[in-house]
Amino acid sequence: MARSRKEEVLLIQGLEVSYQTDRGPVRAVRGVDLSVREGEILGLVGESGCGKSATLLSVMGLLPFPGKVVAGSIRVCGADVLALSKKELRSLRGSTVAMVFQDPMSTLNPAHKIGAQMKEALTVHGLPCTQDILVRLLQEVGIPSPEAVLGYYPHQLSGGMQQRVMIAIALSCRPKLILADEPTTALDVTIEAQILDLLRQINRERGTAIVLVTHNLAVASQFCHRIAVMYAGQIVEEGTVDEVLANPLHPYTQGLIGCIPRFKKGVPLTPIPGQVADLSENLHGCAFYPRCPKREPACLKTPQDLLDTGDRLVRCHKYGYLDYAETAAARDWGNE
Amino acid sequence: MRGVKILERALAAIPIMLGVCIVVFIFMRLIPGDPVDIMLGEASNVTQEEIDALRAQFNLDEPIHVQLTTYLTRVLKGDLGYSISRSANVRDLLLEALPATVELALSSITLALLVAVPLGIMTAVRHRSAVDRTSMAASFLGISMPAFWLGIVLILIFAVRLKWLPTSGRATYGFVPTHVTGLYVLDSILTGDVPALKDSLRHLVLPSIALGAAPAAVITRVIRSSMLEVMRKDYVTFARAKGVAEWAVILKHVFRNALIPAVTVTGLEIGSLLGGNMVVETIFGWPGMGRLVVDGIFSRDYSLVQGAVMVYGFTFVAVNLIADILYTWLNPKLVIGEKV
Repeated sequence: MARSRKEEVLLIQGLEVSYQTDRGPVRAVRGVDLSVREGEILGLVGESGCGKSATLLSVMGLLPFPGKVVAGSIRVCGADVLALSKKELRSLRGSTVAMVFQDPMSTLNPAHKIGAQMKEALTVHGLPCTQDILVRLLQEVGIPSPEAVLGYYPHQLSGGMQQRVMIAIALSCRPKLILADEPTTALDVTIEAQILDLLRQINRERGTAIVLVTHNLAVASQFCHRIAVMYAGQIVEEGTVDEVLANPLHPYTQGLIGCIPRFKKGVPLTPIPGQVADLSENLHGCAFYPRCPKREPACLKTPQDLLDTGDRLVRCHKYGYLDYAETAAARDWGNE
Repeated sequence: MRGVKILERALAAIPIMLGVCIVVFIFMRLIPGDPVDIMLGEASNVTQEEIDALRAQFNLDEPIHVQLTTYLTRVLKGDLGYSISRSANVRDLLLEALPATVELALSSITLALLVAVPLGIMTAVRHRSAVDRTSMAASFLGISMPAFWLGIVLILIFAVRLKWLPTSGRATYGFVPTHVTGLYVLDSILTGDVPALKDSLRHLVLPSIALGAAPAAVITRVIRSSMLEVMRKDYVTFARAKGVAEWAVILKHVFRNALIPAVTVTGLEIGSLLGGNMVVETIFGWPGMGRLVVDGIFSRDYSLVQGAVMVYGFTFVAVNLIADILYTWLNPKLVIGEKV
């Protein structure tokens, strides 16, 4: 995985996030390494509560109380986010990194007009803001009759249109990186496709890097260049989207793919048994052990490291003592 | 469209006012003893004929429904009747007492808001801090402390012991400003009467604190909890993600959206303050509506109490209508007439 540092828009190393609760700390993110290069779309996939959103919010410095980054480093375009002053962090937000949230209906302020909310995003960064600029921003995200929309309140627009407005706001300062936290989960399937097309188009035309958080592997497969699968605050598998989805190595990834409904009669879904790991406990060995169909005593003995199998990274010790040629054999053994 | 809705709401108040009028009319007559009993007291040298003649003079001998019809017809003509206990026209008495109550109510609610708004914002922003905990304890005290007790304690400390402020009344004799609106502070400003302004402000301080303490505590709590709720909303995180400064996030995005419950409560508090706080007005010898009503009830002065209660009803309806109009401005999703 040798890559030039220069192009890296986002570089996360050893990130650990912990929520202080009455019952002790909940370790939501446990040592995440990620890098996103210019023009790249990275999918961050996993179940609810696996630390995807916490990772994104850490990048923005927006972890809600009582969440805290306890270890690791985050670099955005070279700037060390965790070392920035509040003011420097504010000037980074929105201008270099922008965020698109899950539910547009609750993300636009109901009391302010669309125009005012767009204007705010520009003026806080000292950028010029005229009627023409706002209209052009709305046109770019495919909103019909933008002049009128500027005078609307959010509730006067449909969900899809609100999401376009949110993307327009995110794009307004020409960010280098967009963090999209399940941007289509709250939308209809047809609208979902339109919004993803729009994001892909922005990525292609401007080279904007995108991190897409999703629990939907189908969305990730169509949209991303690379995906990282997260489980219990750790990345368990990372590689190009084609490789990971065609030949999943980690049992959890295999399980996720087994959960995708197929349009074939008589093919039952195979759910992953058990429940997501309790993040308030320390892990011994593999976090996925209690739910893994291929577990063996050795899985509990050592902490599982992220292993480089040549074409991807995987956190399962089974691949550690195999050379690359044998990986396929190990996978087939798993797929019996 | 909006004007029509407001007019509709205003017209809907008419049956409410009528209902209030009838209920008060009947309830007043359920209190044992009528004005004649009270007037004659325990006098022993009165014959039954004299009592009946007096009753007939005030139309108290007629059946209740006839009395009611007569009263309603008069009210529609703008005649609120004659106060037996004060020997004056009820309308004149009310017009005289209303400015005193309005002045005290406005000053109390202003004081309450001046304390509650910054404190509500601060306690929400510094959630779980020492400031938050202290203010919440203080506001608990403010809610639990009865106004009459607080009023007496204030008088004892600041008027009797320290002699900083007057014990009662609206103005010292000789300092009453020329009548313009009936609000002494406003009148003395309008006429440029500085000594009268000072004097009326000094008289306002203690009753305003006594009356404003409870609303201040309630409004602080409402603003705080509503701000805490709004702070968890996605659009607040989104505002921060846009790079908006923290104070602007709090004022523009959180406070504005947190105001709706605060407006509701403030409206209700203003409504009840405008009705006049009977106990506080009595303690401070404040010549307002509250004292008028208390005196009226004790002397079974039917017309006076009925007239005063109608003013209460009217102010409540008006304040709620204003609050409704404010809602639509605060939350563009709402339409006047729909419940929040």
